[in-house]
Amino acid sequence: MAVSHVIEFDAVGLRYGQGAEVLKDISFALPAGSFHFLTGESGAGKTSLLSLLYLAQSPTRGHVKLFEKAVRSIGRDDLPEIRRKIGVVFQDFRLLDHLSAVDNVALPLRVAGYDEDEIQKRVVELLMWVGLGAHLNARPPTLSGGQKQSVAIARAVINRPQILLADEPTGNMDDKSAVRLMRLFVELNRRGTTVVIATHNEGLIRAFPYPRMHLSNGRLTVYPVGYSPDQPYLRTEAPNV
Amino acid sequence: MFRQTSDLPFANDTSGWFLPWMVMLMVFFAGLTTAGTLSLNSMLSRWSRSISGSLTVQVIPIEEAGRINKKKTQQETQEVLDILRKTAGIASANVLTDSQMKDLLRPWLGDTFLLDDLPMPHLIDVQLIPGAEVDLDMLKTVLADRTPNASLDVHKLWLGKLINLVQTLDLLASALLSLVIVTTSVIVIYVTCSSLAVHKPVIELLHQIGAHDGYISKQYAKRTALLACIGAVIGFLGVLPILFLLSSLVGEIQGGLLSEARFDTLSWVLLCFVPVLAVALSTLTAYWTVQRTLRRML
Repeated sequence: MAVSHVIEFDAVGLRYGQGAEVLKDISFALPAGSFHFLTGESGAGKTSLLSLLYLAQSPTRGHVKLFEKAVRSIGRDDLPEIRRKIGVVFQDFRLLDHLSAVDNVALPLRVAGYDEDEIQKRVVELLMWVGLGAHLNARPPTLSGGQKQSVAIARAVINRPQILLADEPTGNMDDKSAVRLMRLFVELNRRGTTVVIATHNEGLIRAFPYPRMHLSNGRLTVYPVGYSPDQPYLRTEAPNV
Repeated sequence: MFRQTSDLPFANDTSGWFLPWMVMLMVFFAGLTTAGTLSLNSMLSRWSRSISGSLTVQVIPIEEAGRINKKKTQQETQEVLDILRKTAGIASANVLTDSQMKDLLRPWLGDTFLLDDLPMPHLIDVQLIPGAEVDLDMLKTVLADRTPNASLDVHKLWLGKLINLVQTLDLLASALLSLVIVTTSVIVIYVTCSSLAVHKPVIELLHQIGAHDGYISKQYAKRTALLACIGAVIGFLGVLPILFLLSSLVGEIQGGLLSEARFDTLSWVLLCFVPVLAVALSTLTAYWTVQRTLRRML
């Protein structure tokens, strides 16, 4: 039986304006329900690769397929439906400062047309779960970095996306909170969500045994569980999580 | 717990602050123009109704040795009446009484004048049979031959000139209204485009989480409707005292042409549409502008 790939890249290149290519000949395919870390030095192109995945950019060359549909062939009117299947945690959170934590998290449900009772139930439940039960009506400027990140993560997962993309999702969190949120991602993954997490946190990668995609100078290499760019031929033991 | 306000931070957006002022001015000018047009047309319609189907024959007093010969004038008037009453298509012909003449002159001369002191012509009000054709040329010739001091006043000519005047004013009013509509639309487009530029990051985020263009356009339309509504109500309230004042001044002119410029219920209903249309125009323009601009975004 053929494996269903939710994300497929074929010889993809991306450049901004007339500049040099930031992504070069990227080819990979992620099966539905897979979990990958995306690593690389700062400036290696992680955020650019994620932006192609959440359809904020079009590739300069090559072919991208999402949910087995060529991105180039997706009409503008169909983009929102595709985007609703993708949850994104941005590195800079991109929370709306004039809205409360509840309203920020509720956004994906509102744009999808859920009724307010359903929205309230789901949003409050999730915010309680991520430890923001006491800050439901707080606006982002009054929240700490970690709290903002939790709101951003809650917003990304509230719609139970089929693909979850996270750019340094635990960057502002202590280890305990980071592990707690990673468990949320793992749980979503167990329920079928394909997860890609861009991170610099080697401890987290060691703690959660998933394959990694490593970007270096705009080129991508995929390493199986236990292998790393530093020791590509040496398999490390995956610890119990 | 849940707010029902916009996802876009319009409260911090100064680009929309002057929209209510502009809509207020536009509604004010459009309201006055519409009221003027409706009044003129109502006046024309009343004149037309009262004049159509009637003629006036004027018999100039006959002077002899510097004095009016009342007897001869009376005889000529009677002859004119005989001619008129024998003419096919004429239902009645009656000389205006002194009382009717005084009513006509009162707006200009007041109540203190004596008709005998004035060299007033005899006026004959002629009513035509509805639908009947009267040979006016023939009538004019006969009157000129037999009663040289009588002249036939066909109101159509006078009314035609008035119609031309009112139609020209109507045209000017339409041009002014068109200008108001175009100006309002341009202002709304400008305000909306400025706001879209200011909120681009938020719009990108909304797109990112799956918002359709319509979701964003509706928020802009709602905000524009609210701002336009505030301006439209104030502008409309500004028109009302001016209309009441003009109406009261016109009402004081009794018997004159302007006293026919009444503002009836239908005119009020039509006038109420001005602010409604201003809000609808602003809202639709904002919606269309956002849709068009978002089409250019990924």
